[in-house]
Amino acid sequence: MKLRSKLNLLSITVLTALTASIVVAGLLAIDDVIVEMNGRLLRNDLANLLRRLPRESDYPGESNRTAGEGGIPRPLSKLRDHLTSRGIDSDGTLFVLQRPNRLLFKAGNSLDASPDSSDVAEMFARKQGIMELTLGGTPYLAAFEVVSDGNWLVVQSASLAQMFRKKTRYLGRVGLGALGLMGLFVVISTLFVGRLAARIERTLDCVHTVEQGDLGRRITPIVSQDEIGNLQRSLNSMIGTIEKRTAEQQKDREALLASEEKYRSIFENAIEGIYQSSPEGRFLSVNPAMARILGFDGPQEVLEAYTDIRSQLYVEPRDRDKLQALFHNEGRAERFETRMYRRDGAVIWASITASTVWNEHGRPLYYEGILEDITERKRVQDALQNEKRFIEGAMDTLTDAFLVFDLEGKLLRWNKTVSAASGYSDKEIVPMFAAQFFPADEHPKLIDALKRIVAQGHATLEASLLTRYGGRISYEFTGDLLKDLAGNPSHICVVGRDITERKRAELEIRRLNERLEQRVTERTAELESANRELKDFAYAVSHDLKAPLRAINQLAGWISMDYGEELGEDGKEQIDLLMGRVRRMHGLIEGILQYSRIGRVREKAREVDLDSLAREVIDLVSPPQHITIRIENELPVVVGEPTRLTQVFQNLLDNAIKYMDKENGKVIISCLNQDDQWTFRISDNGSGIEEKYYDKIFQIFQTLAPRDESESTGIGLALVKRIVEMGGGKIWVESELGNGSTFSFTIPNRRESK
Amino acid sequence: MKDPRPILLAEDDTVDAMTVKRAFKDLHLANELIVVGNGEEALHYLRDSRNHKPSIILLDLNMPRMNGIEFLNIAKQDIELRRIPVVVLTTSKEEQDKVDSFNLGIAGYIIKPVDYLQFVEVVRTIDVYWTLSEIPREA
Repeated sequence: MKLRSKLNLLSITVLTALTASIVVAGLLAIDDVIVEMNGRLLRNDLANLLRRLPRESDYPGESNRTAGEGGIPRPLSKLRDHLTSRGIDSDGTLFVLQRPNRLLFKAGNSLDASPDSSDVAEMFARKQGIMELTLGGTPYLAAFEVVSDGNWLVVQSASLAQMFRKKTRYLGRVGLGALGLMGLFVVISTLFVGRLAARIERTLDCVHTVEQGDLGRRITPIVSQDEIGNLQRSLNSMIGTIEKRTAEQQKDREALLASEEKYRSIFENAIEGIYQSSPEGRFLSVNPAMARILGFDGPQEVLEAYTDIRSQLYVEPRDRDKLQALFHNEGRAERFETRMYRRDGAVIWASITASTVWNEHGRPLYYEGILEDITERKRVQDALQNEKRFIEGAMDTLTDAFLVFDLEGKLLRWNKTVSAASGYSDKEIVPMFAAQFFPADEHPKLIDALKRIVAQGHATLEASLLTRYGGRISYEFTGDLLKDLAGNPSHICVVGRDITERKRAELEIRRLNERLEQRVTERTAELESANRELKDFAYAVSHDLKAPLRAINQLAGWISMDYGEELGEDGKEQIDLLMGRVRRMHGLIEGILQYSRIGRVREKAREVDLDSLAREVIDLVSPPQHITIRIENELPVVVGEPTRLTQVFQNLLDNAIKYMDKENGKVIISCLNQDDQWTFRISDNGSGIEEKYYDKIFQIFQTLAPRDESESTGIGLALVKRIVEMGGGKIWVESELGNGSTFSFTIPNRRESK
Repeated sequence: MKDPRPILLAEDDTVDAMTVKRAFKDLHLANELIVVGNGEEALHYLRDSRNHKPSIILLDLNMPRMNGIEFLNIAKQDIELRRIPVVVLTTSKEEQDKVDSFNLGIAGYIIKPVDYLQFVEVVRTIDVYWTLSEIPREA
């Protein structure tokens, strides 16, 4: 039977019993209750009535008098009026009696009866109260009170039968009310029990779910703070705690699993060999890598293959002893390097890091360790070692000093030359810094060079190497910035060369140079002096040699003029010859003067338009009718001395005209821009020059024609050659005898090079 | 020459002096030609108050004792002489001589022609020029 039903049954039983007992008790007590209640009612009624009555004292002089209508005293008549107007219960009756037993007034239903005198006397005696009395044989209940100084008795009565007639009706009502109440109680108690049961069921349901493993479940809602509520709350809290603890346990379990997995993985997949071995020399466990390193297919093979590690595995069995000594003394060994045999007999280098596992008695239980195959590393190390030895050997063969510093200036590497030159032993050099190899006064220079090396990667510097004994050796250093693999500056590499000898030589050269300069100065002075003399000489020639010539010429002219008649034809001809020779001599002197003036007197070089200059010269030389001079292409503007350039063109054109032997003479001027110079060509179709004279024609006073025929002084081409060469150019001739000549000369194209 | 005053010729070479004289004669120039042999003699003549001041001076540069440039250096500093026009008549084509002479305020610089007829032309040109050109009266 469910709790709900139990509770419901209980509540109904209790209520039924309760109701029944109330009904029985009511039935038993009802008569007394009715009498008591009606008595009270009557008394109250009477008291109300009497309170409204006027007091006898209100009517002085009228006491004990019967006055007014019906012989009733006035107060009483008032009472009577009042009582009449008020009426009375249907079965109630009111009496007013005067002592001892005189009925003064009566109102109500049972008017035909009066109280017994014995009852009246009793009432007068009791003054007031309730009592049963019989009126006309019918039992009545009456309330009474004596008023008006004890003379009057007022009795209010009601029929008992009348009262009990109502009893049945009351009982019906009470029973109905009890039944209604009971029903209500049943409903309320059922609802209450239902709620209670529902809460308990909810709790049970939750506990059940949690039991099934759903720790996320909670009892909800919690509707009350009562015991059940508290119970539910406690249960919720308990479930929460369980859940948390369970989650933690789960996590721990997972972590443990992961960690185990990890270590297993490490053991299985490690590149290093991992092993456990017994002090007696057997392997207890090895990982696959260990097997691989030793040349086996799997760990099991390794365990089976070795019965005595010391002799089977170690190339030097004593290394095993050393290792064991380390285990015993220090408990562990780190990076112990030894050689081992592989299964196939090959020797490998192994690095062992291992420790001892002790038993509780302090005896070694077994060794466990990591073994690394470092054969390749050893090989590389050896190679590096060899390389290092090779480099150091090579460095030591250098006669130059070779030093490597780190960026703080600490000396890292050096060759023998450094120790030999500085006088420090290698041991002394080890802690030295760059600065210590240089005298303090040269440090600023050094710092400057270092900055350049860092900034530009390279620098050279002449500085003194400071020896151990304070001496200085002149060195020329070349510093380079070295970079590591990542490209960051790491070292400074310095090569130094002893330049003492060179310095000495330089000093010597400087001394010689100074002497030479002095010589040059002296020579220049001498030359200048000679030049001055030459200039004076030329001046003297120009004046002193020309003056007499002119005088001779003058005088010869006047003789011819004044004494022509007397001289005769022969005489005149001789005078003419004389004057001709005078003119030639004058020409020679002029030529010398011009020639010497080229180097001596210099015009200021300026831009010269050769095209217009050549045309002016053509006008100046005024070629005869049978010779045409043509400019083939436009001549350039060059930088030079206009007068000299005029002389060049004039002389070359003069020559072309002078030695023209053809009826139809042609002279062509052209130019060519080559590299950084102009080449000018003046070609004619004249008599031409034999090749053997190509040099001779450019020499001063050298002509190819007899003097008397050409009146040539042999100055012109020498002059041209000198001008061209003074201007930095060259002149040459190409010619074919009888067919003409081509004179070519060059002028550096200074205008463009500027 | 329009101006009747004498012309002073400073010339050490007799033939050159003769050439000038001959040209004067050939050109029928009325001016008296006073010939001195060097700068010193020229200054001596010019500073002698008894002598007539010349209208122009024909000056050779290359002369013994005091050459033409030295003479100009002195004469052009002399307040009495500086206004007398000086025409240099020389054989020197040296640029330096020309520059020095013009720096000293000469009126002309003529190279003596070798040929006499050309010489005559030179003298004629001088005559024509100084006939056209005004000369201060109290030079």
